[in-house]
Amino acid sequence: MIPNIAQSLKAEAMVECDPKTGQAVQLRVTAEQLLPAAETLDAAGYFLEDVSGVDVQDGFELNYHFDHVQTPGRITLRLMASHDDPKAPSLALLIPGADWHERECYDFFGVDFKGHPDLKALLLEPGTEPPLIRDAKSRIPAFELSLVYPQPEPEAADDEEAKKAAAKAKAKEKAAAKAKEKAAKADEANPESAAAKPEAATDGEQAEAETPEAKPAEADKQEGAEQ
Amino acid sequence: MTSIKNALAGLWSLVVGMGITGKYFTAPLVTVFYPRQEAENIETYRGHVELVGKEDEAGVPLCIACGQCARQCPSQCITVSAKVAPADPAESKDGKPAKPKRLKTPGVFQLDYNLCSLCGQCVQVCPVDSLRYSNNVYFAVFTRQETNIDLLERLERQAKEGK
Amino acid sequence: MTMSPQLSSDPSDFYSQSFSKGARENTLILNMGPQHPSTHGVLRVIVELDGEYIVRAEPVLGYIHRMHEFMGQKKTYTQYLPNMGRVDYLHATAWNWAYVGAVEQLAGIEVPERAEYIRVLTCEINRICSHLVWWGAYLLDLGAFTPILYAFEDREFLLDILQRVTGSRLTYCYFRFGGVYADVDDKFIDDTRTFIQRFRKRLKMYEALVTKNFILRKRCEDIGVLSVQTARKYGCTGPVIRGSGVPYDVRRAVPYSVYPELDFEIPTFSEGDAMARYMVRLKEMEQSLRIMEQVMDRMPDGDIQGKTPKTLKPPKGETYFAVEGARGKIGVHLVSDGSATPYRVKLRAPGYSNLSCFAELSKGTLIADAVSILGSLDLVIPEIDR
Repeated sequence: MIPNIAQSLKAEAMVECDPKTGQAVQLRVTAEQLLPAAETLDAAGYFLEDVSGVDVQDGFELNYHFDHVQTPGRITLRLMASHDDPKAPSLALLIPGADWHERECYDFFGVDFKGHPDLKALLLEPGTEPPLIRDAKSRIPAFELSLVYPQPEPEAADDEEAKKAAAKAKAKEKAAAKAKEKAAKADEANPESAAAKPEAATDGEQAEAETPEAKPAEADKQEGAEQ
Repeated sequence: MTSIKNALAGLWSLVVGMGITGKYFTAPLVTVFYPRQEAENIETYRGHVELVGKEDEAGVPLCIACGQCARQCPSQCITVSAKVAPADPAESKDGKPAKPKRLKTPGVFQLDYNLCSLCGQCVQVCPVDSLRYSNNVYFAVFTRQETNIDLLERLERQAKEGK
Repeated sequence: MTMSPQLSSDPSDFYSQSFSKGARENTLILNMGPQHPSTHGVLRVIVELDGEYIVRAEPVLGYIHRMHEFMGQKKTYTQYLPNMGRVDYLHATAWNWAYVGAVEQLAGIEVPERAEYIRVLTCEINRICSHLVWWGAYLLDLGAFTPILYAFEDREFLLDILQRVTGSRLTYCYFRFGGVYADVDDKFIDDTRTFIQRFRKRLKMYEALVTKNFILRKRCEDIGVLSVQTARKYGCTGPVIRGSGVPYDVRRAVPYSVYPELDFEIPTFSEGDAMARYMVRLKEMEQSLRIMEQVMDRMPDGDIQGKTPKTLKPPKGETYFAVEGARGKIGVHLVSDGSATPYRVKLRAPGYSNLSCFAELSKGTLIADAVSILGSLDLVIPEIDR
């Protein structure tokens, strides 16, 4: 059962959790949505248990675990901070208990919490390399972690089909590119021949329309190989 | 008026406390005077692991040198390797020397007690129950190297002392 | 205590430098710790003093930081077990339980009933041990020397009892996935029953000797008053929030194991001062005795170890499991990628959140009272630093 409070929060996605996960509901929030969501939870009497960072393929995932003293049921706000420029809004001014949890994440992952009153190393020597950053190879994709992330389509799991589809899409892409090139050359060579142009354009459009389908399949293939 | 009452009650609480202290002052001692006395529960203490000998041959361990304990150990403090029998020249075929044989008994079994955290996972994982806890509480050494215990030697010594 | 004059010329470190930036004029900046007896280990608190009053305080952590969370990513699930006894050495079984429980929840491992009862029993015995150490050490901070000797005498009985099953006396590695390491025997049960009878009398003695003591009350009453709102905002749990009048106990709020079947109360005091936290812990020991009695009466026969695969590989996913430790809510956030090594282990230490409110609590108090406040939060530094 999703608590009422969770429904009133603005979030990208919301999932009710299996009891196996030890959480009642998870919400995927953006950086802008985090503060208002935390404010609503705080006003409703929730307290922040911890901020737990997880390094995944998509970035550093920050899990804000909230719980209530009278009506227990863990609400998790999940925020993704990118690998290249890890930053997140700070909750420290709103919930003073978040102060140390954020400093811990800063220590372990190097996440920069914007608006933190005193962001410096807490547990580690100042200037230490964040120890919990994984190498890119060993990272898992975020959708394996939680259902709040878009799950891959199950049909793509079939390896051979996926390969064929990918190969086809690639071939088409190449063909389209060639057609474009040809058209361009033809344009340069013979600016008056406008007849070749619309054909090439339609080809190009087709290829573009097909590539997004092919891409997730390729991505899955890679994951399959890693496993 | 209340402050006087409170002060008196406070003083009385001190008297009660002193009374208790006095009572325990005359009570018999509960401390164990270590070098002259020993604690009573040493047999339930689980110290570093030791090898279990065979029933008929107490100096030879049950161990089959499979190395599972070494792999399971969280701190890699166990070194175990199988005894290798020298090649038998009679077995050589076609002029090739015979390969040395790997026996199912340990040639080396060492425990680095410096690293051991006494979790007991080696004891649990052993397929032939060749490991058990010792209750060696008085384990004190002068150098770090001495904490590297040769368990095979220890078993032999125990077997000799036992007989 | 190292004293440093206004930090302009002295070779102070990063933390005192950043702390002294906000200092007012004519104040003294003082380093308490990291080797100060009242900070119970290696906690360092930088305080800014105006006379004997604290203007500002900032705890500096990390002196015993061992990066348990990183170790969790390097070892297999079973190999990580001994680490749990070393996070909080005073209530090791609760940490054992939090981690083991998280793995069991994720992998769907069943625990036999007898093992559950043994877990509750050892966990409660360990809780009393922990509270006894706190009690002795807290009073030592406040200047009473003898209570710690009484506390350790009682604790010694409990350690002997626990040694019978766990084999060790402090850093237990007793819980296993799906059960416990060794079964309890009759001597264990008999000893525990004898202890319960003895300890009930001792608790009365403690009350007469210490709790009613005039001097102690002066040092604890109205010191470090923590309001419900502040406690919640800082995420305080355990005896700290119960001392502020909130009956929050994970054993009741999110019941695990066989706690729902057991009859016990959650002692709460609404004053929110150091004395309230003191009283909560003393009353909790009585409740733990009650739990132990019920557990021993009801303990069924049977296995102590459920079926577990030899190489444990929990399915992909994540889980959060919390238990009630002596200092509050212990949480383990575990992420698995389907291999034999955890992908991420996040340990939520209750003391970490409890200590974070110290800066606010100590504002404007005497430095001697700050010692009393620190003690009343029941700090175990290895747990805070992890």
